[in-house]
Amino acid sequence: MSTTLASTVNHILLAPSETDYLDQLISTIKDACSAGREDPLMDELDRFSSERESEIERLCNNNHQDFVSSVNQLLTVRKGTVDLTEEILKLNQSIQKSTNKLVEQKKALVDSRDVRQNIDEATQALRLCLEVLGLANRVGDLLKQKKHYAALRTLDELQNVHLKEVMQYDVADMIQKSVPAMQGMVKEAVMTDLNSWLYRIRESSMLLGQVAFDQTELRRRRQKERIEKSPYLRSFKLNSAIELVLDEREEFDVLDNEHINIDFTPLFECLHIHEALGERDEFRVTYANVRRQQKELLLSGSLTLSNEDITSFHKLLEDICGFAIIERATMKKTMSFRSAVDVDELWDSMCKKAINIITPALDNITQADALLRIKNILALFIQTMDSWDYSVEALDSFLLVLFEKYSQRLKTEFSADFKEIVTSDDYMPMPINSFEEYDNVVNVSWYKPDKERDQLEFPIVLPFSQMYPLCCIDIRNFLNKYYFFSDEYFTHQSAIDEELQLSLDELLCDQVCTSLVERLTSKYLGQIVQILINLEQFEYACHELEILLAEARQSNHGGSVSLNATERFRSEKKTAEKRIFELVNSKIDDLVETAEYDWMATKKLEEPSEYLQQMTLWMRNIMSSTLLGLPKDIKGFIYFDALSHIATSILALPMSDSVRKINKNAVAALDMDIRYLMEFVDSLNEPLLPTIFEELRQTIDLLQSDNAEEFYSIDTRMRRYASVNPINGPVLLEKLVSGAAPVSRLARFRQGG
Amino acid sequence: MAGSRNYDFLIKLLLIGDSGVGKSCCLLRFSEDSFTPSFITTIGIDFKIRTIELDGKRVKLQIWDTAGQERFRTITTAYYRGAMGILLVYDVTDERSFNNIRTWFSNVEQHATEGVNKILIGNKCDWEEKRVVSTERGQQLADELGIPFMEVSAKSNINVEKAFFSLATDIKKRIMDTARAEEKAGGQGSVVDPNRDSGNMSGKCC
Repeated sequence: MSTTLASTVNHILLAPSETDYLDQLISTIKDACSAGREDPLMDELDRFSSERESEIERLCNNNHQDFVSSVNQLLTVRKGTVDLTEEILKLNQSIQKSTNKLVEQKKALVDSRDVRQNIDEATQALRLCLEVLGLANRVGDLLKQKKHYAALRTLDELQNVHLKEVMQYDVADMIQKSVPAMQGMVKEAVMTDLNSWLYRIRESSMLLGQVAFDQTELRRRRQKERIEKSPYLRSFKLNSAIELVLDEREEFDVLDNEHINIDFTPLFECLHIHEALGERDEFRVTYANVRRQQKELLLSGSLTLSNEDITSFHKLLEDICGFAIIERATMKKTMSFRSAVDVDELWDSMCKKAINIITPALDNITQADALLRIKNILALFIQTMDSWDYSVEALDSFLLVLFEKYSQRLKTEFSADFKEIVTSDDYMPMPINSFEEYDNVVNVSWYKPDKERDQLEFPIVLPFSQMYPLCCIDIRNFLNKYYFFSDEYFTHQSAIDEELQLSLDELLCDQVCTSLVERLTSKYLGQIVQILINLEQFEYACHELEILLAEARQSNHGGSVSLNATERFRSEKKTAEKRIFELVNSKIDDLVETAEYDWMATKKLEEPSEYLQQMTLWMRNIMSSTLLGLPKDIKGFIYFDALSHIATSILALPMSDSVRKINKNAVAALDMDIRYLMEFVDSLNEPLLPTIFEELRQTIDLLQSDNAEEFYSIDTRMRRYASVNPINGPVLLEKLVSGAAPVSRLARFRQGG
Repeated sequence: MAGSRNYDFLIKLLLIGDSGVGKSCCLLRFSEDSFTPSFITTIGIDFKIRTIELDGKRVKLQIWDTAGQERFRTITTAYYRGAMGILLVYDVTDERSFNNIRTWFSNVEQHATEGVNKILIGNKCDWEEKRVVSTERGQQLADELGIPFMEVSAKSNINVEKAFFSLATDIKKRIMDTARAEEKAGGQGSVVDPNRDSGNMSGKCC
């Protein structure tokens, strides 16, 4: 036994692993305890420990020196290690120290970097914002500089480009929100500009009209000059194609010249802006309305005209002209902005309104000349507007109305003139003292002189009184004034021709002729005679006027002209003639009434009756003075009538019921008177006149005849007393008493008378 | 004599004086009581009749109106002889017409019948502001010529009637006086016949 144990302990203690050793030890102890062999085991284990100790002792004894030296060596090394450690610690400490700073610095660096980045970002944002703000400001500046479109474009750019980049900022939002307002400002600015432009053109439209009128007048002059050079151009009126072509060379812009310059830029800009804003149509409507209002304003007032002052009329037309020219120009300068319909409608309404304003104002114009001035301005206006392609129909019709008024005024004026001439005339043949006077009269009158001009010896007396040349001048003026109306421009030529003929006829009949005829009531023979002569002259003038009117007809109606006045003058000559008969006969009656025949004269008279001497003297005198100027044929009639009346009156004396008896002495006195009268008639050298006294002569012959019975025999009566009135003859023969009557019978007769 | 006669006396008067003094206007005023402002020159000769009543007698005035113009002088002179009364007319507003009265007067002396009644008439006496010949000067001239004088106005109807009546009365008186004188001298008939009695004066009445 013991040996086995030892191996086991050995084996156990030498086991490779603790666990194993412990397991084996435990199992061994257990086995030992169980086998009551504890002591052995104890011993064995002690012995094993003592063996081991001894082994260690031996080992240790063998290596002691080495050990000591190693310990020494170890001590040295340890010392070195401590030093080194210390050094390292020191070093570490110093490193530690320097790293801290670095860390600090590094940290600072990192911080700086952050700040810097922030700054960069802020800068960038600011820059963008500034740009935006700058643009926004620029819009304002541009607005101030009136660069409206640039402003609008800038705004657009701002909105579409720049703002998008800075959308994250509030400022962008603000600006974004202010864009419409700014657009509104632009619009407002252009509208303000447009309004001031509109105001300016309103102010200058009168000047524009004036310039346009002047231009038309200039064209008229040029056309006249051209017509002077080439008369075939006469048929081409102003505004005819030919005239326009011929005048093309003369370039003149009514809207832009030394007097006026109408700049449409504000309108274009406004239009442009509105187009850009997409509000073109709205703007069109607005503009149309504004112009309509301006038109209303232009034609709002009433017109006050007077004969002396028609400036307001002139100004109104100039204003309308300027307005319309701007309309037309706007239409031409823009594309579908002002429609032709709009403009023409506006024009039509302007014309209508203008005519409505002008018409009542014309009532104050009482002078034809003033109306003519109005017409001339109107014509200038029409031609000007025509050249701007405006319809002038309404104005043409108005011109006709004006013409009717003009004609009325002319008639009134000339009626007054004629009346004045007729009233203030002296009804004396017109004395002429020199060639100058003669020419003056003959040139204005329609008069065919009897003598050649070079055969005249002054002073002379023209047959008519001075009313005739004065009327002739007036008639010529009257005609001219009618034709003046068609000067330059008038489209109703035939109206003038017709109206002129009617008016002239009316004037000649109602004024000249009637006035003359009214004066026939005058008791002055000289005046009546003069009226007759004047009537004759006027009749001749009427013939001449008929020819003149036919030639002057400006319309191509052709045909001859016939004036009623011609016939009137002709027939009134008869009235005058009758009136002369009447007056002369009444004078004859007055003279015959002073006949002092003593039908029962006691003795024969030695010379013709005094009343008859006075009669012949008076007749001779009026023939050589009062009646001298009468046309020969009329003079003949008057002599014939007057002498017939004398003959009848003388014959009536013995025929009077109050004459009961006639004696031979009285018959002898009658006979002497008849002879005296016939001598007078013979001296007149008028072949027909002596026949007037046939009846008287034969009646006296019968009374003087010794054989009165002859009268009752047809044969002798036809032979000797054919002219004796078959009733008067016997009556007178009955009254005839043969032989000288006694005084008592004469006395009785006288008492009876 | 003709029984149809409607007057007792026929008196022939003559108006003379410068052109434009208003002879015709005076006559128109007297014969028709009217006035025309327009200037109407008498050509040659004219006459008017008015019958007036004087002392119950119908007196027919045959008044001859002459042209004042020189060129009618030969015509008008022929009427002097038959005139029984002559009105020498001047215009108080026209010195010349007044001065010419002497010439007219000497024409009367030369051509008219001796003893013819005359009267000096200053017309247009209404036109005071234009007057150049005073009433005194007119009267003075009339006195010098030994004839009556009267200022008249045909326009305002002043004294025209009076002038003609005055002249006619004088003439009638003269004729009656002459007739009576001749009657005494001749003593013929019981009926006054001024016609015959004043034959050389052309005075006629019945």
